[in-house]
Amino acid sequence: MKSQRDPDVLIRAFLEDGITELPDRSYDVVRSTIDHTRQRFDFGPWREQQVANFAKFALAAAAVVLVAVIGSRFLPGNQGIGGQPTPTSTPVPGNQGISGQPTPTSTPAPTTAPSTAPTAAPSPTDIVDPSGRLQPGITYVALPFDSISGMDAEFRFEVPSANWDAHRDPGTTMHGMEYAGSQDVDGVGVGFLKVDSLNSDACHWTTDEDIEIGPTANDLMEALRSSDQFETQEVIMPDTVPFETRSIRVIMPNSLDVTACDDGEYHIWNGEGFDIYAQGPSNLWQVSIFEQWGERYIVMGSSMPDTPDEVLVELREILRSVRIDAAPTEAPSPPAAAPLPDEGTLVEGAYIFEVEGSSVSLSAMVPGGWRAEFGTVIGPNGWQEPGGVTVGFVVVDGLLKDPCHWSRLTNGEGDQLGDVPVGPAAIDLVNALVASSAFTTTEGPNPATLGSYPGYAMEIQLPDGLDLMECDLGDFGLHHHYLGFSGPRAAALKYAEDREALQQDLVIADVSGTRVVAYIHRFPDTPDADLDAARAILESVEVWR
Amino acid sequence: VQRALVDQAKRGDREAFDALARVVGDRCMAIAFRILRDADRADDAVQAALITAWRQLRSLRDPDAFEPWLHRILTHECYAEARRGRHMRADVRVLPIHGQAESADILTVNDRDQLERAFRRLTLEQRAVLVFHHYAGLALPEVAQRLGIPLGTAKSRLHHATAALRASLEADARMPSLSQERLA
Repeated sequence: MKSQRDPDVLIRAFLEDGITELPDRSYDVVRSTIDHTRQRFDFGPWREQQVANFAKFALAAAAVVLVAVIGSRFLPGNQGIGGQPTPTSTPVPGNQGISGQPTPTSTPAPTTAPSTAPTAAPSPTDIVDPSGRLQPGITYVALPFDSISGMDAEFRFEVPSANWDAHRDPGTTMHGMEYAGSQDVDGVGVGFLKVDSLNSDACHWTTDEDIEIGPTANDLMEALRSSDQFETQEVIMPDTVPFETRSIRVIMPNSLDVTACDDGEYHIWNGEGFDIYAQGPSNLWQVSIFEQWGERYIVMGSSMPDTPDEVLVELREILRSVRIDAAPTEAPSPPAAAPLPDEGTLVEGAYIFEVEGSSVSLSAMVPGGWRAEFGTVIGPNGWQEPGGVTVGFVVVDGLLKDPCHWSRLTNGEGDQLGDVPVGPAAIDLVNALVASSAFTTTEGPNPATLGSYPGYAMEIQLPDGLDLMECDLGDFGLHHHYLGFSGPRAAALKYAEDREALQQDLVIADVSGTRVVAYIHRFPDTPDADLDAARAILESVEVWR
Repeated sequence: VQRALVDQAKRGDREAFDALARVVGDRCMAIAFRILRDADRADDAVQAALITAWRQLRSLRDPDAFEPWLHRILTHECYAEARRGRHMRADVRVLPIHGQAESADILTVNDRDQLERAFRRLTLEQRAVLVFHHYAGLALPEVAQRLGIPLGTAKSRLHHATAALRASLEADARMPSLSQERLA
């Protein structure tokens, strides 16, 4: 019998403490959002990946292997997709016809002269770890294993139309894409993954015994061929493929009924990256397995028997465009300005920042390894506070007389309302800040520019003796906030408890009629190198509009 | 009722999803708060999870699996929210203002303080296992299934998390004077 002092009892009691209700306004936010959000077919939900115990490879140098040939080899031409594939255990050639001798087909000509590209450095149009709708004419870089095992291989690809959505699980990097065009098409997508085991019972995949697989492409091929959970057709790859590659078609049972399966899903394998399950009866997976740098990778395409030909053509084009690169060990060359992603690790280069609450758009050079958050803020990868540093651009409408006791000013949602009138020009805000007791001006204001636009630089910090624990509590009354500014992104300038040491470098400028505030948040123990990098970012700003 | 709402929502019925969200929202909030130890972040994570669930609902084959499926999404959103929040807030202290009465007889201020500190040192993955097991009351195989991790991994995470929390309590018990000093 456990006493009340038993640690387990105490732990349970500790976990019992706390909030148990979602506020009504949160339901309202969800409802408002879904009113403008259409449902979509997805390859998810995804299991959290079971991390393979692969030895991580050391990358001596960036390398690129062109796998374009795979796309045309492991997708059938006029046969296979679009009709019912004929399962067989006999290897068949990649196109059709003579074993080992691929014959010409009416499909677009494959790249039959695979080459090794000289570098993995992003080109000026590369976008790393994309999200949302993909656009043609851009080379995308997927880092499908980044969130789990650190930097690994990179997959470069292009899409032929704006019919494809990047796919990622919540909180992970992009690892595949799915068709999201106007046609009512389900189960069509492309994914990048590793597989380390098969499920002995794909229907009862949560409780079955996993079938471990050896590390080579042949090991996986053999395991797939041996499974009784689906049919397979092996595809013979041409001799011209410059590395060890196997290709196989996996066809789900045509009588597949997932209603009795675990979670209503039919999972044939476990791995890392794009963790797809059967999309329906006779779902066809074109699986290309190849080995590089001591790892085994898979690029796969999924289609259904009724997938329209024009969608299959697009699928094939994407697969043909795929290249796998080793993660670069040297800083890549800077790309041309790319839109700042909502979140994710950035390669060195110029990024476009949309200043929220205005029509101002500007670009800045960002060091490699910094991260984007919220689509508006950047900071070094792995930032922590204290000692962290962030850079952002905001519009500030006004100040608060008493930022510590702000709750009477709020409307409970949306923007925070300032009670210190501030004129529209940069100098108005500068003067207001200098006069305000909400901040201590520690340097400046001095003339400065943001891009080529005139403004002022100044350094401020929270006033001495401030105890943020005395400030008004935020939502739910669980932590205290100090609201220094009001404006569309006031939340970005909201200082929670334990941040008394916060310092800010500001550049306040008039940009085409809009007052823009560029800020660096930092602390006394922020490393000099990070601070120098942050300042260099502000110096690199160019205003686009 | 829940199954019917899921079926309706899968067909695009927003009213049904709204009703469904109100059925499961509190439970999600309770779980998210206990993983993140921060109400704002938990709120954000739950909202994101519900919106993600709406978008992906068509891919849910078994309506009866809705809640476990949602909890898996929620857990990922908690992980993402924690990563997003690192630079925004530092070591926010949670003031136990809800539900304290129920445990006040069991937990001393010292206990709570020690557990809070120890809990914050756990990885998010360990916290999730701990919360689903000890708070949500799921058996470990269910926890593993809900989080999409092997059973052995779930056991390992629970073992390490529990050991860390126990150690914090035991260390505190050995140093009463230090604890009192810290509270002073």
